[in-house]
Amino acid sequence: MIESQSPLYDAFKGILNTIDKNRVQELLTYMNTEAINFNLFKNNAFIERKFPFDIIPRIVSPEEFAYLEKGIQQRIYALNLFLEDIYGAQKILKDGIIPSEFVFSSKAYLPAFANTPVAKNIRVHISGIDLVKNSVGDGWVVLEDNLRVPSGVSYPLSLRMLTRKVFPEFFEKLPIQGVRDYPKKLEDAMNFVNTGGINVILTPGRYNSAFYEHSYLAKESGAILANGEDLIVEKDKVYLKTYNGRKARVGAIYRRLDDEALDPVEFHPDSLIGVSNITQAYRAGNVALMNSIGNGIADDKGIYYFVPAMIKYYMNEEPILQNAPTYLAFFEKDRQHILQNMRTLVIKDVAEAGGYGVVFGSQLTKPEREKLKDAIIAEPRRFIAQEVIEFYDIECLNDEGTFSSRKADLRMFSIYGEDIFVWPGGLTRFAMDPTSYIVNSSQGGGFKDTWVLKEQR
Amino acid sequence: MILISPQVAEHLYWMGRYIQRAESMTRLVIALFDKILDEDFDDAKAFYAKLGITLEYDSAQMFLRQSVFNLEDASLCETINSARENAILTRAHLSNRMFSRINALYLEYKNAKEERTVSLYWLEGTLKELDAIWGNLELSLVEAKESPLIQLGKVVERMDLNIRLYDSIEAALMDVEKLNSIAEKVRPNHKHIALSSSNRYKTLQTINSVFEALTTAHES
Repeated sequence: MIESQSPLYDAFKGILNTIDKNRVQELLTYMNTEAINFNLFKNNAFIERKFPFDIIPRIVSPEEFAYLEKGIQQRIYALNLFLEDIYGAQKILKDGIIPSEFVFSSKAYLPAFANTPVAKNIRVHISGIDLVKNSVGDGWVVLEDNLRVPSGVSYPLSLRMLTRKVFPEFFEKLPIQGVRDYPKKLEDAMNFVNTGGINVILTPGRYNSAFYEHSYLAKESGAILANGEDLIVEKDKVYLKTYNGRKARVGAIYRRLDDEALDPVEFHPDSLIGVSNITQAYRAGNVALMNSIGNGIADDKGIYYFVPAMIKYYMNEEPILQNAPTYLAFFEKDRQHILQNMRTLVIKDVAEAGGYGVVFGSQLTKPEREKLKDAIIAEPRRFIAQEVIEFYDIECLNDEGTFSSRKADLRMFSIYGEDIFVWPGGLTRFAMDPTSYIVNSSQGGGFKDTWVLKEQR
Repeated sequence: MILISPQVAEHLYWMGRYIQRAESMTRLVIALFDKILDEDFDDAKAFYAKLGITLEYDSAQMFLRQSVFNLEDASLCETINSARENAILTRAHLSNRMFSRINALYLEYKNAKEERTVSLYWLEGTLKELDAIWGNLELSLVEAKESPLIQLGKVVERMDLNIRLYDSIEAALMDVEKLNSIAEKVRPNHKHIALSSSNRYKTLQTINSVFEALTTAHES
């Protein structure tokens, strides 16, 4: 179901109908030449892949953005307080808002980092909140909070910069909010927590799916892009090695690798992409890591269930944004509901990400359903279930100039520095298959830009 | 302080080398094509044999196809791919224009490998593109810090090829002054690089170890 067309979308289409369609090809070539890739690993093989995109943007009204902005700010503020608490006094557990066992049984909770203070008490520096717009009730629903290494911001940003060059008509005639200050905001946030030294973006390397993004953000924010082996820790301080033998002190690192890969001394000894003893420098307060170590507990798919309660607990406010109706197999009553209603639910493995481990009960065969039931009974902490949300489709332009509709979500990005900045844009991801609800980039989904309009005076 | 890591420095250097190699190879293929047509049909086979490469062809067109696309690890297409791979790894340090020119050339070759035959006209287009890439580097302010490393790759490759392909140490030695001037920018106060024309092997070895000598850590 497509969202009822707004005057804004009509205005967009009115302009689209007048433009020279040859320029669509020009835009495709432009994107291709810039190698705006989101790479994939399939069957253990690296596939360098253009990130498929569609030129029709998602258009968000100023009122809708103001609502989303407030909701995301509230959510991030609460999640940050949760992390400060959970790695500190753990009041929310003591007060029984979240069962302690539920937190402590999560692999993402890292007790070794309890009572490790972080610069300016900020842990959720960069976040990506995944939302869909429900066709029932017309409201936005949060599907996931990504608080570790959310990727994707560079794609709509790059597309916007190129679209402005190829199709200036849209930007002349529609009041579209600018988005190009994202790298500057990132730089400001890095400077805000910097403990003295240069800013670095730490990449797992060329074969990471989002290496393009790492390069792009480093270049645009003025940070140095580094691999693990470019950094060295001496006397609990991090340095960038330079080719002429000198070393530059590093004060803030926007790391684009997971906790487990970050430090072979602290985590997996076989990690080849991390930096030995970087966690020591972090513990000593000599380097800011963005995002902080241990954030995974806050974007655990099970903890998601408790975010509305966190908002009430820490902020004494009602949540602005709604969660999808969720059941935790961890709770006996919920588990029974899940087991009895599997056909109508979507079941998620909390340990998975990127659209993996998401199963629609309606699509399972009977033996598959029974197998999943057994797994849920055996490991209830591992699973959540949600009501299937019939979120809106969005129009895409086909090669032959016709339109088709696809399921699409919206990832909105925020940067927590001096305040919480919600980027007036976003990564709209759409399913390539018209029957699919899975929009994830790592599952082959495409993307669109998101145009947030300015207030009309 | 120049904030370029050892790895990035190496990739910038090799990007310079591969771009230069692509240029030299393109010129060579054009020259050999002419020889095949006008002088000696087997000339290109003999030339590639000097490099330890077996090249088989039964027509001038086939020679083009082989040398441009099919020679494993030694084709022009593979050389451009290597230049582009190093550009990918250093793109945070490159201007958009520099990167996209290299990538566009790579894409052109990638597509052409599947879709088209090779012509001299097309190869001349490659030379123009490579000229534009070098010109871009000369003029760009973005790569000011990186440029000496790329230029170092360029001049080392040219000297290496002059000796290896054309047996001309003299031609290589003409670049020594330039090499020292670039080396000074890569590492101020480096030891002057001196080369002699008496020993081909030693000269090649010295040229190819310049980057390592300039980037080995001596200070902290």
